[in-house]
Amino acid sequence: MSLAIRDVVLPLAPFTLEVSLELHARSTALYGASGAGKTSLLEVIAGLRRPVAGRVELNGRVVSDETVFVPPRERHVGYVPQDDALFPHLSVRQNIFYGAKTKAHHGIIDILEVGPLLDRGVKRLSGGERKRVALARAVLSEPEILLLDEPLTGVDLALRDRVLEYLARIRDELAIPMIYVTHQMDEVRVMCEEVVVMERGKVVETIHSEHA
Amino acid sequence: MLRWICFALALAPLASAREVRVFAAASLSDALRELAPAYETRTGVRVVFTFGGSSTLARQIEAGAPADLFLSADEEKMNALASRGRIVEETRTSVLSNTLVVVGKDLRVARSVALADPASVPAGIYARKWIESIGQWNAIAPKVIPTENVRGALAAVKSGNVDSAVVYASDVRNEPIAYRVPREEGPPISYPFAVVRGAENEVGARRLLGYLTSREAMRVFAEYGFHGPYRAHGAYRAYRSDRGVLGITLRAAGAATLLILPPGMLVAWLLARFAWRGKSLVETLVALPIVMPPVATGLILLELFGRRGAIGKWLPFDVVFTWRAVVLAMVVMSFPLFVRAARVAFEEVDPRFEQIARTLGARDARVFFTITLPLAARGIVSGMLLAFARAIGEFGATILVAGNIPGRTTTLSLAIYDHVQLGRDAEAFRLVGIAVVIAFAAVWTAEAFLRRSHEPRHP
Repeated sequence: MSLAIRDVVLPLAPFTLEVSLELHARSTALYGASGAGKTSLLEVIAGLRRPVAGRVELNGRVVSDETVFVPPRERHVGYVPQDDALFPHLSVRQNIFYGAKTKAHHGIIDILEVGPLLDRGVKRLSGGERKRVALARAVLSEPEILLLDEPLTGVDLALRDRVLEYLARIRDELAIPMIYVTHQMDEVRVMCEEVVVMERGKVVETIHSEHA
Repeated sequence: MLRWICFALALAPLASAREVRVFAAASLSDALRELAPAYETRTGVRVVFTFGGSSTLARQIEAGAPADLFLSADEEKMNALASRGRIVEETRTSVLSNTLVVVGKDLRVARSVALADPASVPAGIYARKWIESIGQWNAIAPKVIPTENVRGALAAVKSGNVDSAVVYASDVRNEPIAYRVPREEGPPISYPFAVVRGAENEVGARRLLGYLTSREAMRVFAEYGFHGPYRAHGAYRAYRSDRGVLGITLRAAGAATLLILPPGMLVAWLLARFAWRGKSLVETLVALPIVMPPVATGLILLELFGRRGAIGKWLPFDVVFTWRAVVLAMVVMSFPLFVRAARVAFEEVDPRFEQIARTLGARDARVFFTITLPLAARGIVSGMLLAFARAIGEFGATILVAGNIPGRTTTLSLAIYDHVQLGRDAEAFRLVGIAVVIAFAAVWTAEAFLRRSHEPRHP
């Protein structure tokens, strides 16, 4: 995976997001306090926001610059927002297969253990279940990169290790690289090879973790 | 209001509207000759009568004679035409009845009795039925001199050529009456009226029919010796009945709601989701019918959709004064309500669901139909119900652009107005009751839909 962000500028409410960044690792953490611009950066990568300047390259393809803007549906990114944004009017099955290219993805369903949930409505899921469904939905669309916004938010403390385990299996068994937004250093240590530290819209430090 | 209707008529002239051709039973001639001038001066429409025996007239109509309206003196002749599809069934109405009288000498002493032909002409058939019922037919039959119609029988007595005649009470002016047949004793005499199918001036015929069944006309008929109807007016039902009116209203309001749906959703969605040049202008235009005087809106529609109107001249069919105009007025008046409700519904859909759907590879159309629309559905249904309710209540624009043609463009609101105008308070209040029930049900259901959509999404 390669993601290159060059001189991207996006004005936000209290500050301006100004980022240049090059990522090659299988898993990268965007680490920083709440309101540092992490989610906005994910949205720029996913194509949900268009920066006013700069360029974004995904696996060598320019997806955003002054003239080019590839819409989100053609970027092949799997985006799991902080609150999962499961479609409330659809069943778990319909959610999971919404972006699926084929119906035969039982591997992922097994890895994430969402099989037993398929026929439920999404309103009757626990926090951990919701997260797994959201992950399955994103992964089934066969993304080139997964964007995870605070994936442990809303998950019971007791279940956090399980979710981290699922994420590790996605990263390792399915070989989908991921960018992982968090403000918890302990998650970073477990999950990520690379840590990008953000503060008020700017990258202040890039650390290569020993762990991998 | 009548002035408004005349104004409307003048603005969108119908080529054949200047003349209505009426085939009427001879017994109605005096009363109709008094009624017609009043109608003509009021509407500018000429009423051309052909009077005769109902059986002759029915035969002529069947053969394709150019009649717009048929006023028959008995139900059977009308039945015959109806069974051949020659009348507009829903306009058939029986509001008049008559009684028989014997003029000249007492039947028992008369040496000759003139009857309208008892084999075919209603007056004669009725007379024979009565004479049979009192057991005198065998005695009188040899003395019968048949005439082409009832006026002929009366003339025969007046001229002294026959001793007596059995005629309608309404025929008699100054002739000596030997016997008045009591209503209970005689056969039920009923005058069915109906618009002729394929009439050149069907609209004119319907309007005239509306006038002939009005209270004003009934007073004139009564002066000429006619009575109210025998039966609880068989077809009066379809003509001015609640069911007929309700059918027209519900069908038109349903059609209007469905027509509003696609463009209404598009406009609501564009207003809810995007900022674009001219947006506030469109917002204002869409809301305009809410605050404009409905009569003004109606006048604009009349201008646009009249036969020579900017839009009307390009259409292959007539709009003004047809059911299409009813639907048109409803569409225009209900559109703003629907757009407002649908816009709010779209605005309440969290755009992040749409964004996520796009990252999952969905095209815009799929996002709209699988995410946006289902999530906004309750608000949209609620908007449809409100639009439907508003359509049912539409009055001001409708009366101008659709007129108030009984059995065709008379909607619930127009019928209430009609009833009040003609002093039929009971009928008016019955329709008001129906209107209240429909409005209540629509608004209550609409609110129920909105309440459920505001339930928290997460347990």
